[in-house]
Amino acid sequence: METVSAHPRPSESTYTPLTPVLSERYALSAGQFSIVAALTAWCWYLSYIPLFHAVTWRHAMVGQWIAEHNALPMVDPTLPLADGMDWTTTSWLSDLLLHLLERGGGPLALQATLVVLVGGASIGLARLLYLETSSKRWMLAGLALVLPFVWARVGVLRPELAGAGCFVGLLLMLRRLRTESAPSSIAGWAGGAWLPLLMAVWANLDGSVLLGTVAVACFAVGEFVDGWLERRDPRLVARDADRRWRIWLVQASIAATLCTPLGWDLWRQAAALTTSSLGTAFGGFRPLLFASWQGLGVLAMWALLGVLLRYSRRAFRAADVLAFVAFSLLAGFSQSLTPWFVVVAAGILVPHASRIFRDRGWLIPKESVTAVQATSAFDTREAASSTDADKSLRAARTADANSAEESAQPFQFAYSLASLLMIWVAFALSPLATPLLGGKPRPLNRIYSPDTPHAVAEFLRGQTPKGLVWCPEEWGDWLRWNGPAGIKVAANSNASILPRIVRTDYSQVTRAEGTWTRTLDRYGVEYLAIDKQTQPRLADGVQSTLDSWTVVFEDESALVARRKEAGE
Amino acid sequence: MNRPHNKARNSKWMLVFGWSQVAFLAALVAVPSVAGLSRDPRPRLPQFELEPIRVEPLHNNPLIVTDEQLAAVLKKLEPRLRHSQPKINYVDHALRFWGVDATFTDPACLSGEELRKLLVDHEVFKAAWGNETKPLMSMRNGLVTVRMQQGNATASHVDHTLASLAECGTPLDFDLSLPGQTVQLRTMLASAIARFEINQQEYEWTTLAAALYAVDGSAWYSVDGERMDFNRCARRLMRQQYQQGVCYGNHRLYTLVMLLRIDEQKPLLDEATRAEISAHLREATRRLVASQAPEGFWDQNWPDAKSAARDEKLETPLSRRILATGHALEWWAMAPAEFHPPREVLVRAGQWLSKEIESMDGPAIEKNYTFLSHAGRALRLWRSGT
Repeated sequence: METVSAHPRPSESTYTPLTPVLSERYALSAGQFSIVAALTAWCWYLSYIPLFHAVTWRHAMVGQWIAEHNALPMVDPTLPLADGMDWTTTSWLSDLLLHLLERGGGPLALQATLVVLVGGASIGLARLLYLETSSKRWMLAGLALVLPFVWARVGVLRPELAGAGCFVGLLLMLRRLRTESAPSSIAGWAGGAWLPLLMAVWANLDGSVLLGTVAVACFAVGEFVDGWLERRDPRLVARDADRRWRIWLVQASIAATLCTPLGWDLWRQAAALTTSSLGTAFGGFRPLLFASWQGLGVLAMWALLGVLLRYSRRAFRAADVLAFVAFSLLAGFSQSLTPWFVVVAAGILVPHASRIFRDRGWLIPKESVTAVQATSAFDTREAASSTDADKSLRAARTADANSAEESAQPFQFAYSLASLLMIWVAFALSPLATPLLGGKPRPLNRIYSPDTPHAVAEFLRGQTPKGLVWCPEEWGDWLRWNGPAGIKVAANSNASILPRIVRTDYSQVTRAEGTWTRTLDRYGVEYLAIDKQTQPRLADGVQSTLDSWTVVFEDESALVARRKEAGE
Repeated sequence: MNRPHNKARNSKWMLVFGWSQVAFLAALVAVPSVAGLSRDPRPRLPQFELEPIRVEPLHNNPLIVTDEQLAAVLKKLEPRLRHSQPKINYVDHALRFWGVDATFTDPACLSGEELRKLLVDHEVFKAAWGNETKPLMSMRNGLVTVRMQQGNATASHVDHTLASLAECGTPLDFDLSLPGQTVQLRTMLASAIARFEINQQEYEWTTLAAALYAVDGSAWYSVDGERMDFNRCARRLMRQQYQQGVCYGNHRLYTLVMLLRIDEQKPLLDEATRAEISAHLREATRRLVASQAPEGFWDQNWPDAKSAARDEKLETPLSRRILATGHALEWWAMAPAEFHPPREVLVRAGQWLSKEIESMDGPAIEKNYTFLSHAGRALRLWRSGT
C-alpha cells in the first residue's frame, strides 16, 4: 500500500515534509492499535482451535445429500433410527456451503471459515458496543461480558455461527435505522433493501433467523410505542414519515424470511417450537436452570437492568426493553439460547453502565471529567437541544483533534502500519497460512479435537458393517463421515430427534442397565463402539457377554465389540 | 404553496401506512390458518375396513399330514378349557387355532364363540376367574388396555388377543363388554395403534392386526410423531437376527408372509419392500433346510444348527422342538410355494410333528398348549387349501 506521494527528492535547503495521500481516518491511535491487537490475537487463537468431531460433519453430510439430490431431505439422512421422524434442515445453505468448503479445501477451509465467522461476529459486536458507548474500554468490557457465555459455542463450526454473524449485522443495521430518515426517492427506497436482504440470506443460512425476527419485531413495536409516548396519540405515529419507513422496513424484513425453500414451513416450525426441527436446532425445550452459572448470569443481568433503570440518565427505548424481555424468555425456553440473550443484554446494559460511570466521573481522569460531562449531556435525550452542551462537546473534540494532529506528525500512520504488520504476522503464524506460505502440515490430533475417534473409524472401515453400529452420540457424526461408506449409526449429534423409545433405550445401553443386551438384539446391532472414558459400565458389561459379543478392537480410549454370528 | 401539497401527500402516505398495517396484521392471523400452520394434519390412525381381510390357506398336501393323522391331532388339541380359571393365553391361542365357528362334542371344550366371549366379555371372564381377579380388558386413559404377562389371567403377547380376534374374522363394530362400559373392537384396535412404536419389544401381532383391517398402505403417525407404514413395519420385522424375537423369531416370519399375502389383495407394500421380504423369507427357508434334524424337527438353533440350542424358559427339548417345528410349518402353510423348501423337508417335519402330538399325554399337552396350538393350526392349514 502506498502511503506517500511521489514528490521530487527535496534538496537540503528546500526540504518539505511528505504529504500523506491516505485519509487521516486510517491513522490509528494507540488505543485503536490495542483493540486491533486484541481482536487479532482472538482470531489467531481461533485459527488454532481444532475441528470438533461432531456437529460440523453432520451438517456437511446433510449438505452433501442436498447436493446429490438437489432437494431438501424430509428425514435426517444421517440417522437411520429417525427415518420415521419428520425432519428437515433449517440451515440448508450453511450445510451446502460446509460440504462444498470441505470438498474444496478440506479441514483447513473449515478452520478458516470458523475464524471468519467468529472473528467477523466479534468485530461486529465490538463495533456495535463502541458505537453505543463511544468508549474503547466499555467496548472491551462488553466483549468480556459476552465471552464467558459464548465460549463453549464458538469452537464448534456450525450454521449457528453464521446466524450469530447475521445477528450482529442485524443489530448494527437496526442501530443505524434508529436515526435513518425516510428516503425521498426511488433510489432511497431501494437503498433500504439491505435489511430484508440480510434477513432473506439469514433465513437460508440458519434457523436462528427466528431470533432475528424477534429482534426486528421488538424494534418495530418499540418504534410504535416510542412514537406513541412521544406524541401521546397512537394515530400521530402514522404521521411521522421516518417511523413509517422504519416500521415498513422491518415488516418487509420479516416477510423476507419466507424467501427460503422451506417457505411457510419455517414459520410452521416456529409455531411448534418444542417438537419441530427448528426447535431441535435450538437445542429443544431445555429450560434455563437458575442454579446453573448461565442462569445466575441471566439473573445478574436482570438485577443490573434494575440498577440501571434506577440510575441511568440515558433514555431506555421501548425496543430495548422489549428485546431484553423477549430474549430472556427465549433463554428460559432453552438454555442454549442464553448467548443470544447475553449479546442483546450487553448491547443494552453496557451503554447505560458507561453513561452512569461518565456522569459520575468514575474511572475517568479528572481533566477529562468536564468534557465528559458535556458529552454526557449531549447524549441525553432531554438535553438534545442544549446548545451549551453541544458547544462544549464540539470544543472538547476539536481541541482533542488539534492536539492529536500536532503530536501525530510525522508518525501518524505508525500504528496503522504496525497493525497491518501484526495482522500479517498473526496470519503467517497461524495454521491457515500453510497452503500459502508453506510449512509442515499440522498433525491430525491438532487439526481435529483430541477426542475424535480416528482409530474406531479406521477399524470400522476395514469391517464394512451391514447392520447398525451402536456408538456414543458424540461419535456418530465422525463415524458416519469418516467411517465405511453407508455405515448406519444409532445416534449422533441430532439424537434429540430420535423417537422417545430409542432415546430411552440409548440411555439404558449407555449405562449398561437392565436387559441392555436384549435391547441391542432388538435393534439388530452388529457393532458396539464404546467410549471407555464416558461409558465405563458398558465397557465392563460387554466383557461379561462374550458368549454373544466378541471384542474386535480395543485401545486406551475405545472398545469395539462385534455380535457373534450363530454358530460362531 | 408547498405546504398544502406536502400535507396532502403525507395524508396519502398515512392512509397507505394504515392499510398496510391492517394487511400485515390480517396476514399474521389469516395465513397461518390458511396454510395449516396451526394444525397438525398428520393422520393418527390408518383407515380401517369394517371386516378384516380373509387370507386363505393355499395348500393341501396329505403327505405332510394324512386325514387320519390330522383328525387324531385335532382331537388331542381340542380346547378343554371349560373349567375354573382357564389360562387366558390358552384361550386366545385356542381361539386363533379353532376360529369362532368351532364346536365340539366334548362338553369339557369351549366352542369358538365361548372362547371369544371369555376374552371380550368381562362378565364371562369374571364368572370364570372370580371377582377378585383384575379384569383382562379395561379402559385406561381413554385406551383399551389388555393385561399381559401378569399371570394366568392375562395374555402372553402384545396384542395377540387383538390379532386372534382379527384372524378369526371379528368385525370392528363388534362389542367388547368392559367393566362398566361397552366399546367396539374399533376402539381396541385404535388403542393398540396409539400405543404402537416401531421399536417396541413385541410388534408382530399389532402389525398383523393393523394390516388385516387397513384399507391400504397409507401412513399414519405415532403419538411421538413417528411416521408409520407397513414398509417400515416390514423392515422392523426383518431387522433382527433370525432366531431373535418371541418364539425363536417365527412370529416375525409369519407376519411377513401375511403382509405379502395381504398385499396381494390390497396394496400395503412398495416394490423394494416386497423384494426384501421375499429375499428374507428365502434365506429363512435356506437356513431351515440346512438345519433340519434327520427326524424332521427343528430346535431353537434353527438359523444355524452348529450353535447349541438353548432356551432359559423351555428346558425340555421336545417343547422347544414342537415350538420351532410347528411355527415353521405354520408360516410355510400360508406362504406361496416359491418360499417353500423341498417337499421332503415339509413331509418329514409334518410327520414328525403329527406323531409326536399323537403320542403326547394330557399333562404334556396341557403344559405345551400354546406351542401346540400353532402346530395344530399349521397341520390343519396344510390340509385346508385347494
